[in-house]
Amino acid sequence: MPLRAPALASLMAALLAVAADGQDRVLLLVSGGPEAYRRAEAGVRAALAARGSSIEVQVVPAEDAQAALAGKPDAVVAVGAKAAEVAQRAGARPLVYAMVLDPRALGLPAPGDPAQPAVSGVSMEVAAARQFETFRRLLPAARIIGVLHDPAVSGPAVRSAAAAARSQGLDLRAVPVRDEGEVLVQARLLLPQVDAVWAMADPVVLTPANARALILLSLRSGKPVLAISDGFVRSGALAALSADPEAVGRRAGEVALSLLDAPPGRALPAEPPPRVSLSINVATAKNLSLVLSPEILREADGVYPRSTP
Amino acid sequence: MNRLAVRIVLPFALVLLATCGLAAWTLGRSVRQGALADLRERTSLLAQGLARSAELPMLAGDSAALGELLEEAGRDPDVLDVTVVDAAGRRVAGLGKPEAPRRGRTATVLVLEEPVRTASALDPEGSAFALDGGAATPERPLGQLRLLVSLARTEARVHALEKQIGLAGIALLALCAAIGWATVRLVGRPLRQLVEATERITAGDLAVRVAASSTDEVGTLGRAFNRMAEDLAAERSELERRVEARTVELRRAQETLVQTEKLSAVGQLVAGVAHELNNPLTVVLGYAGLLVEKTKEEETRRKLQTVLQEAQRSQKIVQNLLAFARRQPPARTEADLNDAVARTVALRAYQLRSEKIRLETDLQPDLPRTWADFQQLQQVILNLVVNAEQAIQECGRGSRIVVRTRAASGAIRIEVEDDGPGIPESARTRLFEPFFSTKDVGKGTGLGLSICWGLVSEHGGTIEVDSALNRFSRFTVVLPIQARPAGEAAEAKPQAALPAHPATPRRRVLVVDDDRAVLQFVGDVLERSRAEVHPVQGGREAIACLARGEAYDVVLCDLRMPDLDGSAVFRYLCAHRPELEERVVFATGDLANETSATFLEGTGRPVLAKPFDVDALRALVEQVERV
Repeated sequence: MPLRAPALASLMAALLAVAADGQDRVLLLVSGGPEAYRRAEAGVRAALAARGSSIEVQVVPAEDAQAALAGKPDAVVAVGAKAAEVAQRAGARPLVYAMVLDPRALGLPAPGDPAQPAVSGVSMEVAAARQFETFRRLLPAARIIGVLHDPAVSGPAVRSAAAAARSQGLDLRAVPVRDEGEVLVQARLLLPQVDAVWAMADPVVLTPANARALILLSLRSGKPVLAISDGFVRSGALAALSADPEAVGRRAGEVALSLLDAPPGRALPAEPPPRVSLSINVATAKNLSLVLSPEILREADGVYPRSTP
Repeated sequence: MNRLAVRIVLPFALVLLATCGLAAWTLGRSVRQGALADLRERTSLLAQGLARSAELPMLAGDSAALGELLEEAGRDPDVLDVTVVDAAGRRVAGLGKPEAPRRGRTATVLVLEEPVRTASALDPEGSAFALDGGAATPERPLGQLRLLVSLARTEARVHALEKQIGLAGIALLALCAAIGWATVRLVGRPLRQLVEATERITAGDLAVRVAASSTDEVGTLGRAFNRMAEDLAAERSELERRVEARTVELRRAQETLVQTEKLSAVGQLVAGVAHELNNPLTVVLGYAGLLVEKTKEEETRRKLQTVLQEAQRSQKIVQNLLAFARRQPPARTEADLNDAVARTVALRAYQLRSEKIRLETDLQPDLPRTWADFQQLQQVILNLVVNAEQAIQECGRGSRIVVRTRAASGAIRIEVEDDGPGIPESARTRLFEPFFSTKDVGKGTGLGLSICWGLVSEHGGTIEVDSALNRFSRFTVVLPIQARPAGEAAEAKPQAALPAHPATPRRRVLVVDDDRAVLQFVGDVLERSRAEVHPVQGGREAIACLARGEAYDVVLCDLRMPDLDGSAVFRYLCAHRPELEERVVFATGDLANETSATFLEGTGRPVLAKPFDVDALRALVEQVERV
């Protein structure tokens, strides 16, 4: 009789608990989805592998997390929002998250938040100040940056971002939206008033459909979009500063090892991404008649399109 | 298939075939055009959608996204290839199928080209929600999308539909053919039966009938046909009955005509014979009478008496023959034939009662009178009644005689019917011949019916005979109803009376005859009556005597003489000796001759019918002597 995956995971966890006595068992929960999660998973595994045989890593899809969590692992690393949500709801400790766009929405600490016992993580969020600094270099003539956001979700972040923008001599014009359907309406109203659009990490605004529409509207109106991930840049955003998934995963693995090594209940603050990648779409720049400096192009980790269309 | 089926079903089938064919062709064409239009519209929408979706990847140079987009489009089974080229015509993305397959002469590929554009600025008036081209203006070309669509599946669907349409058409044709066949069977079979029945009726079989149980038009037609056949049968039966009746009437008329002709010929013969017998019989009668008077010896007297009786018997026979053959007009009055019947029945009533025979009368009360000789017709009725009476008596069978009168169709019918032995078929055609009799020898002369025939013929009528052996005999006298001619007196003209003439002691009598024996006999008789007889032989001699101016008290003149007949003598006498005109007495046996009878009736002079005996001659001479 074939064993189903959850049952198999439970069985393996039980066997490991008995047979590998003295080893730390780390449950690696991985959300399904973008390739970035795979890269982050690889980073986690690489970090844990550095400890050698004293660490037993169990990789389980987020969908099968319940059974694996029942095996009482010594630590849980959750890659992606789905895995983090399941582990948080299960009360898994110690818990380290990675590749979670909005940890606060899951009750997890974000960088800059007070540390919680046995809970930590590595955020994808690049500091707004750094983003605006990069944007400033990309678009020296830009003065007004527009942003759409759900105040209930991203209100504090926008407020801090506005301050960061001002420090760069930019005016962040924030337009609140209440739901997904309001995004394009507000975008049409916003675009004529701004020099560029900042697509911040707001789950209400940046749905897949809205993201593409927002980029297209911006291009039609001659306004570049500054995004938060490499994928947006491939789809037409001018540029993005995004966390390196592998580096995020590696750092998350290291944090997990730190929590295993530390006394139970130790609190470690959440960390920003250890490495930030710059992506630039030169085709978009060309369409928008933007001339990018050679220096920043050299700094870029990814230039799109990779072959000249 | 019969003609009706050909005339009805074949045109219907041809029209139906043409209609179905046209409908199938039109429908197939419509289906093909519709399917192609649908495909074109669908793929056009697909191309437009792809072109719109390609806008962002083209702007972003995202060939991967463009490739995913085209691969997504390529999942459409009708899409053979999608290629996107940039504004310079360089291939940006595609499914890798640059050439579309072709099959046969028909292009199986639909090529759609759709420009990929983008807006250079937002239209402030555009819809805030729209992302399509209408919301962006003016547009800037980014490239071209070329969509190759296979028509194979559409063609296959169209072919399948055409096949289904064709099958449906064939099924419809088959259904209509079945309906047509059934209709022809339903309508044609009764009609064939009608045709066959009509042919049989034409061939004379009026008993044929057709089945007509249905309530539709065919059933109605069948019932009408049956009624027509019944009517035809009834009419043919009636016609046959009429023909048979007419044939019987015609046969009777023919028989009557033959009988009439035969009797007419017999009458002429009889008249001639009687005339030839008249003169010798007159002499025999006369001298036998004279000898009887003169003879004293008893034995001789007895023998002479026998001669006289036989001569008188011969005289009666000759008179009867003349009565049968005579054509002299009857003495007519407006006769009541019911009265004639009543009087005749009264004559025979007592005799018949004594013979246990019932004599019944059935007389039409309002029987019209007719211009006829009452006495003669009474004689006819009496003769027929006596015949019936004798027939019943002779065979001892029957007890009833009925005399009827009826008026119909312008004629009076007097029927004398008895329930006696009937008349054999062989005897019916000879009943009216003189001397033909079915009675026992000595019971009749065989002249009764002949005389009746003659009398009735004189009235323009006829006598019909109907009989069935051992059942009945019926003689019907048919007399045309005749009105009294204008100028005729209601009663018969009285017999001409001899003019008064003073008697002389010795009368002179001029006797004119061509027969010497008759002259001798008349002279002997009149000489014995103290008359002075001046006999002359023939008309010329008589005229010569008259021309000499001799006076006569009586001129007894024969009518038929070889040189000059009595009429010539009479005309001479009227012209030259008018004082003797009313002294003329004609003696003739030629009363049956119509010319003679007419002449005699016109003179009004008395006639001494030959053969006459001594008493008749003396009586007439005495009558003349008293004048």
